[in-house]
Amino acid sequence: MNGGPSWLWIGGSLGVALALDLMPLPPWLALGNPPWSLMVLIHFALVAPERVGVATAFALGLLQDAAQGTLLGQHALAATVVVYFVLKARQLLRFSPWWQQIPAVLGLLAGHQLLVFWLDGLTGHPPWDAWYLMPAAVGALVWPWLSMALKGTDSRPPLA
Amino acid sequence: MSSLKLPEQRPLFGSDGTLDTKFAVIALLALGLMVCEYRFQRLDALRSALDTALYPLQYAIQLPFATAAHWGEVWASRQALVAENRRLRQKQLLVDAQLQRLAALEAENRRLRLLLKSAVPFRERALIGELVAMDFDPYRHQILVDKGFRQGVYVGQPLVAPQGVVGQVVHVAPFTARAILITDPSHALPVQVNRNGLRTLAVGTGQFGELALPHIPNGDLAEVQVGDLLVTSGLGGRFPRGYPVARISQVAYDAGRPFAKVRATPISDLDRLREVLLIFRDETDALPVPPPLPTSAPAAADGRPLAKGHHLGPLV
Repeated sequence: MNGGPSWLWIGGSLGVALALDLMPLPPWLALGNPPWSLMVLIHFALVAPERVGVATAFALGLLQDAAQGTLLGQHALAATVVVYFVLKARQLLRFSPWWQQIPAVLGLLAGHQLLVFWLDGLTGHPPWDAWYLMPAAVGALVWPWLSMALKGTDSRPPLA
Repeated sequence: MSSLKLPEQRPLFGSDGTLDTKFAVIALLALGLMVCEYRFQRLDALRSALDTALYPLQYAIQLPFATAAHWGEVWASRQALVAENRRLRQKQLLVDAQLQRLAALEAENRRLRLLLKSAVPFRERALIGELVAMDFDPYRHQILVDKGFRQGVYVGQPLVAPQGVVGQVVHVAPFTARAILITDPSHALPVQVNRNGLRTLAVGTGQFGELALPHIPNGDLAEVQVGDLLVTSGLGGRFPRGYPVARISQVAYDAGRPFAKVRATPISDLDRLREVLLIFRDETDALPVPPPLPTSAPAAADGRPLAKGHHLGPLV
C-alpha cells in the first residue's frame, strides 16, 4: 500500500480546496465557484479509499459548517453521504472513462447541494433557487481536469 | 491437488459491512450535532474551537486581498494622495464643526434627561474590527471580524460602519467574532422613521440593497415617504438609538394584504465593508438595561435574531 498518494499531498490538496471554497467572492461570481473540497474528497475516495473515507468527509464538512456559519453537521452529513455513495460505487466509477464520470459527478454534487438546501429548508431558511445548482454544474465540467491534476503524483498503475 | 485460490474477491458494488456501519455511525453523529445545535443551542464550545482552528486558514485567504489593497495604496500616485489628503482634511473640518455642535447638544440632552430622570445610556465606546471572512449567499449574510472575547466582544453586540448600522454579533470565539448583517434574512432591527418617529421593524431580505418593512399597515402609508431616513429606535436595549440604518426606497399600496409593501436601502455599503466599529456601552454612563424579554415575546422585537424557523409574514 505504498504507492498511493501521500498524506501530505492529500492534506495539502484538501486545505487548498477548502481555501478556494471559502474565498470571498461577489455573489454572482460565487455561483461559478465549484465545491472544490467536495470534489477533492471524491477524487481521493476513488483513488485512496484506505486513507480518505466517510470520517474524513465528516471532518471536512464540519470545518466547512464552522466557516460558513451553517448548522454544525449540515455540510458534514451531506459530504458523508456523498463519499459513502462514491465508495459504494467505487469500482464502477473508477474505471469509467472521464466523459462517463462527468454525469456521475454532476449527480453527486447536485445531490450534495440539494441535501444542504433541504436541511436549510428544514431549519427555516427561505426556499432554494434553481441557480444554486450552478456550482454543481461548473464542478462537473471542471472534474476531468481536477482529477487529472490530482492524479499527477499518483504513482500506482491505473489498474492496480 | 492444491486448490486454486482466488487472491481476493471483490464485488463490483462493494457490500462492505464495515463501510456501512461506519457510515451509519457518522451520519447519526452529524444528525445528532444538528439537532443539538438547532434545538438546544449547546455547541458553542465546539464552534469556538472550530473557529479558532480555521482562523489561520481564513487569515491566509484574506491576506492576498489585504496585501493587494496595501500595495495599491503604496503605489498610488503622489497626486492622488495629495488630492485625497485635501479632501479628507476638508471633510475633517466639516465633521469637527458638526461635532462641536453635537457636543453641545449632547450635553444639553443629558441635562434635560437628568431633569426628566429618564434612563437612556447615550455615550458609547467603540473598537475597530477588521473583516477576516465573509459569507454571502441569499440565506446568510455573515461576516467574521478579527476581534473576539479576548477583546471583550459579546454576543448581541452592535456593529456599525461610518455611514450606518451594519449588524450584530451572533457568536464569539477567543480571537474572532461572527456577526450577521442587517440584510440577513434572519435579522430584524427595531427602527424609527426619523421624520415623524413612526416605529417599526426592518427585516433583512437576503439582498444587500434591500430591507423590508413588513409591518406598516396600508392605512399608515401616508406616514412613510420614499427618501425617509430610518434610525435605530433603541427598543430592546440591544442597539443604541439614533444610528442611521437605511432610506426608504419603495412605498407601495398592496391591496390584497393588510400591510403595505415598503422597502428600504441600507446606508452602508454592506458588500464593501473592510472595517466595522464594535459598539460597547460605557458602563460609567449606562444605567441598567432592562433584561431581554422572555423568549416567547414577539420574535425579535428586541433586535435579537429571529428564532430559527420563525417566519415573519410575507417576505415577498
